[in-house]
Amino acid sequence: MKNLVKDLTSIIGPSSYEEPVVDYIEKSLKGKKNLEIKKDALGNLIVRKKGNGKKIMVAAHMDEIGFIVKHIDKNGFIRFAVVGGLFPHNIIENHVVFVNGVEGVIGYENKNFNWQNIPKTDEMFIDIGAKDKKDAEKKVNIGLLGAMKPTFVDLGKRISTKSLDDRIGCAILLQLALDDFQTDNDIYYVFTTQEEVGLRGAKTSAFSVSPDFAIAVDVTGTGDTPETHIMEVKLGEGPAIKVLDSGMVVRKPVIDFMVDVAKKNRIPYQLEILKGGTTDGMMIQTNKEGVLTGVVSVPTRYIHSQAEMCDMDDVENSVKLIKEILKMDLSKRGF
Amino acid sequence: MKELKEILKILTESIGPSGMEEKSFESVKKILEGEENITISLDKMGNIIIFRKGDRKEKIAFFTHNDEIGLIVTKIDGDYLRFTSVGGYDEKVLLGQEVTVYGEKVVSGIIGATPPHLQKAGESDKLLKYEDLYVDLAMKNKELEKYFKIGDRIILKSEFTELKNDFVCCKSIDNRGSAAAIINILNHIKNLKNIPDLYFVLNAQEETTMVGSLTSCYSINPDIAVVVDVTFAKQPGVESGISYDSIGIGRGSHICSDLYDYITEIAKRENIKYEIEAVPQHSGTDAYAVQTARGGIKTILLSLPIKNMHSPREIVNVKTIDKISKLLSLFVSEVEFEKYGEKIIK
Amino acid sequence: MILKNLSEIFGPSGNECEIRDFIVETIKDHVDSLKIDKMGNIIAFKKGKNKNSKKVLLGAHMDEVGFMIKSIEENGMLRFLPAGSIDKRVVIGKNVLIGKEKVKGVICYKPIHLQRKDYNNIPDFDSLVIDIGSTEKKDAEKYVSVGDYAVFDTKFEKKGNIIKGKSFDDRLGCAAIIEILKERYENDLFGAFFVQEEVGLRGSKAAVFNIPADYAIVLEGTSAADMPHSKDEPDYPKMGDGVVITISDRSFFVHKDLFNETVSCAKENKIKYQFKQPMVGGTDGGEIHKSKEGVKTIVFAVPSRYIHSPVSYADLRDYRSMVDLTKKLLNKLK
Repeated sequence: MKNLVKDLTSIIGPSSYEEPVVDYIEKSLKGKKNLEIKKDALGNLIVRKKGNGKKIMVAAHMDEIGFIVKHIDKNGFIRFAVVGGLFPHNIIENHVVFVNGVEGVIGYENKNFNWQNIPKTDEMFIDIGAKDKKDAEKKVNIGLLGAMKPTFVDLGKRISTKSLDDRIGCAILLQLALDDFQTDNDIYYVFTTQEEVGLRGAKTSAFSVSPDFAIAVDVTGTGDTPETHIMEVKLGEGPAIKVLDSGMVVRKPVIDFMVDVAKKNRIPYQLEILKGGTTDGMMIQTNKEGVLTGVVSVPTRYIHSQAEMCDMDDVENSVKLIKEILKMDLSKRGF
Repeated sequence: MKELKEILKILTESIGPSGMEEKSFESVKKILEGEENITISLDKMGNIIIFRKGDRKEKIAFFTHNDEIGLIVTKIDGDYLRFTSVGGYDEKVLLGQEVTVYGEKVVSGIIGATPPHLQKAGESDKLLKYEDLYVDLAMKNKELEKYFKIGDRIILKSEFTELKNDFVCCKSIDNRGSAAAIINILNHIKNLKNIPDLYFVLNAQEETTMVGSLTSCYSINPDIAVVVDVTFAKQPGVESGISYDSIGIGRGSHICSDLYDYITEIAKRENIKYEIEAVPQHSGTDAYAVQTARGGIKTILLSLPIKNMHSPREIVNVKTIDKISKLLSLFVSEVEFEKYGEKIIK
Repeated sequence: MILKNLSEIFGPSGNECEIRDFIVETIKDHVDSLKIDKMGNIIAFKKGKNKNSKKVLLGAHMDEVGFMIKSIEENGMLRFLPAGSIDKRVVIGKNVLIGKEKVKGVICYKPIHLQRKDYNNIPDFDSLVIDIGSTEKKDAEKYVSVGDYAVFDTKFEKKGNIIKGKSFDDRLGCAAIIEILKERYENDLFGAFFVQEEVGLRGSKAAVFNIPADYAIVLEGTSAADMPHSKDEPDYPKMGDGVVITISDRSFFVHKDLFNETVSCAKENKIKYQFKQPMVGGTDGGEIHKSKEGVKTIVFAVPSRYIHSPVSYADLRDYRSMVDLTKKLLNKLK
């Protein structure tokens, strides 16, 4: 599974440019006769494993945070706007890549710079090594998207790379779709678009699928690094079952259900309260008359940086946990 | 069917933090004991829906929210529990409060405060944040691990207390006071005719995500929606609040202006004291979600003035709650639906 | 001229009745059906010439930014709140019109001579008042009530190709749809005039729920950025450089196929066009594109200097380009 994660996280696919991720997933699922594949107006990839039972939607988002070209100045330096939560301290003097393959470096206006204050993103620019404006215009154009340069580091049990948020979720969904496990439920693996800019893909895909139950799969932070906020989620202690984040309060019957499945199958798990961040789950939950929604999160350090870190045991256990949930007869829980 | 003060007492004392509103379902059922013609249900998102069949075919839905702000366990730290808030609790009211923690066991505790004798110089001038606070249940770590976990809810203790001149004091008058106001309509309409189908909705999660109002108004799809929430009553430091004995009637983008005109006419006619609340943009209430549901719903917003909002000692005047019930019961029996719908010009 | 009426008519977010009545009167003889929905949006329909037509939603918003009276002081001064996003620095010393009777008022702050330490502070809306000439509350209450709306009092003027006035965002979009509705196109056309865009894209959210659109074209007034800049930063869109096509703003990314089709349509028909700065602003396109199962959406705009302030400029040639491009696209979409 590590190679799957390496492939997925190396794709450049910022919000609204998810096609390369779609292509990779479709190629991986080629030949799976039990799956129906559809795409919608927002680019969501909906993979259905037909069943007679309840409709369960499992969602992970394909997009990563990135940036978009606003202006090429007279010397060939590029001004940009961020796409999603790309923060100044994550990108200063980092390597970046545009979706057309052009590479560059993030520089910043250092006329008034002092070590205490991080420059804002509109005080930064991208340097692609162009001679002048004309030279730059041959390689990039206004509206061109880009993201951080891929850097996959294998630390053994743990890995560090860009965009675990949320290619790790996509890897988990892909693994589940490839595994042939038995369930009566009607499963929809939905690879959503544009989550980082407002949970947009989740909104339209939830409307068209209209599930009975849903699970969003995303990353969450940890409280296991030096002098950090109180958060009882640690790398390696199992997938996190979400209780609360800044956009969603998970219904108690859903939390209890997911914890019971974990306990019954002896899968390690943690309970998660996240301040400052939310997931597609928030949007799916408010579809029509409401959808019972839970979230399985992969504990991740350094979220939204070039070096997000997770534990592969947590990833494998997330697959296990979701699989067991998908096998359950939901009507027995009154869902 | 209970009387207003009793309804208010039962509702405010019941436990229903954001995301766990079903705990209060039994309390609500108790209030409506013996009422015919009324069904009460709990939907999958935690909304409590009371339905009364009417003798007109149109539907009016009243939306208030049932969730109260509260605290949630984030960590078992030695012999103490660490927590954060769910909904906007002011940390300044927490020190020295008695609480109840709802885990495998329900146990009372205190939010610990260092006595002045042991404080360092200047410590009492320091603002305490959630990370500095903890709940002391007088239990040891082993026991805490056995009975409690992350996500368990903590509710501040507050008894329903009657003060002078029809004022009462309790927790969660935001928004159970409004819920009492709408349920009390059932008392007022006993002698009125021409009542449409009525839905009394106690929404989940308004204080956090508004998932309750977004989903309940989608499924009910009423012809007219009335949102009732609380607002600031005048008190020292709150000069812009409304008088404790006025009803607030909202004017702004979330509110249908012709329905606003209509209900203020009734209020003037009946000498019901009201003040206009200017809410040009986000009202901070369920009206935000209800008005744009589906293809749009005609919405009005009424407010109940309370003091000490978002603390465990909110204060309201019971007579004012009754004014809302009276105004709305006249509204439902008199409103002419044909005037407030889609207008086909051609 | 219709642009003059549209610019001057009273219609702040949440109180669009006057502008709505005007638009209904103006379009009713040119459309097949016409209704006003529960939020106050106008939805008109015109059947397409082609039997296998697609359904296109053409939308603009009727509301403008404005103010609401929050309270009346004992001394007859009015306290107010903004309705829509208004820079607090543009309001001091401006004339406003209040309520149905269009009571004249002025937004006041203390004179410069007396500001001393405050001279370098920007007053918040809380420290400003509107003066209508009343000296006591009882008198003021004869003319205005709490909850009344107010708008800037600005007269429309035309100098050659340049027009000056208020609310070009988005009365220019409304003017364009009114003009476009005079003809019939290959495709079915829903002409919609939304309410409450300035307070959260609210009208379009409700309206689109009941409109079965295959495509949506939103017509707007957007910020021109060709004012003086202190550094080498984006200075587009520019007045006079043609209709602005949105690649992305904070509320949506344009549908790529629709974008490509539009750009080739503009090139084929020699219509002047330019792009909007990515990730700036938000429009009804943001709600429409993700409505229900999603709608392929594009946003065109007239670049206007100083929108959301008492006085803006726009170039009629850009307006003409927007109308032309929309008409061509309405016949081209399949």
